[in-house]
Formats: sequence, structure tokens, C-alpha cells
Amino acid sequence: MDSWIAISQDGSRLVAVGKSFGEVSHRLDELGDEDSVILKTPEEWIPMIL
Amino acid sequence: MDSDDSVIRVPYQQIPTSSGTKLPVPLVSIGLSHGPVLFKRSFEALVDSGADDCVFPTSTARDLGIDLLEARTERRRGVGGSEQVFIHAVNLHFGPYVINIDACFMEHLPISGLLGRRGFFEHFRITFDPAGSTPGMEFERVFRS
Repeated sequence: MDSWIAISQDGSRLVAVGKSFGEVSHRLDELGDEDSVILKTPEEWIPMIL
Repeated sequence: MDSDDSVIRVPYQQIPTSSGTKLPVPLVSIGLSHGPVLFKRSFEALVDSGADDCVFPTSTARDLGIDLLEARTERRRGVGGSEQVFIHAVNLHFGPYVINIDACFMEHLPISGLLGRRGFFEHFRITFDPAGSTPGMEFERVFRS
């Protein structure tokens, strides 16, 4: 948690984890993955009020 | 993402919760660029009408090659308190559009990005439809003279 992640397009699989968008994007480059979705996760996965 | 000549349609993302259910969340895929640095991949940002500005983590500014020491600093208040933000011009890429915005970069932002009124809502007529058969949003670009 509190990381950037890449998940498969159907949301079923965690593909990469990193400390920044750039780190995750680079990891996907290494994997040859063009489709995964990148987002940052909060510290705790609970509903948010921003 | 689906679009015709003028309207971009994006379904809500179904985010799993700790209770095992899924929560529909208004996330859209965006890209950022700054000078010669263009993110070749997009990431998910929250469409947030309650946010005054577009806000991203400071790590994203560093990924863009932005020197935050050169950025203007201000404070922004959220539900949990206030925090210093670094303000710097970037290009926001959404669908076919590239919009130059003054983005806020914040150290402790818990998500990938917020798309707020300044920099995003001022450029689109946005319809939220969480109750439709396919819950989603529509974005129509507005050009102001």
C-alpha cells in the first residue's frame, strides 16, 4: 500500500509495484506490457473522503 | 474510453473494497508531459468537482523532470488538514486533447491524481451518470474565447 501499481486490464492481476509512476512504467517496459492500468494506492484501501 | 467527434465517454472504474464489494469510482486515464518529457503511458486520475485544482504526487513531478525548487509554493486545505503544494505548468493529455495547466504537486496525495475545477472542469462540460445501465461519465470539450 501507498505505492504505485499496475493491474491487468480486467483488474484480476497485480502486474507491477513501484515507488513512483516512472518506476512502474519502466517495469512494464521490461515486461513488454502495453495494456495494464497504472494507479497509486492509498495507505489503506478504504472508501475516501477527499 | 469511447469517443465520437466531440464527446468522450468513460465508464466508472469498479474498485474492489475490503468488504469484498466493488465501488464505482469516476477515474479516467490521463497522461502528462513537461517540455521534452512525455509519459508514454497513461495513469488513472479521479474526476473531483470538489477539488479547486488538478493535484498530483510530487514523485510525478520528479518523473517529469520538474525541479520543485523552482516551483511556486502555496498551501491547500483538504478534509484532513492543509499541506504545502508546489505549482508548476504541465501539459495534461486526455483523449485527443492536450491542455496546458498549472498543476499542484503534493507530497502526501494518497491517489494518482485529482482532476479539479481549475485545469480540468473549466475545459469540459461533464456529465456524471452513476445510475445508468453502464455507470459512467461524458466529457464534452468547451473552448472559451
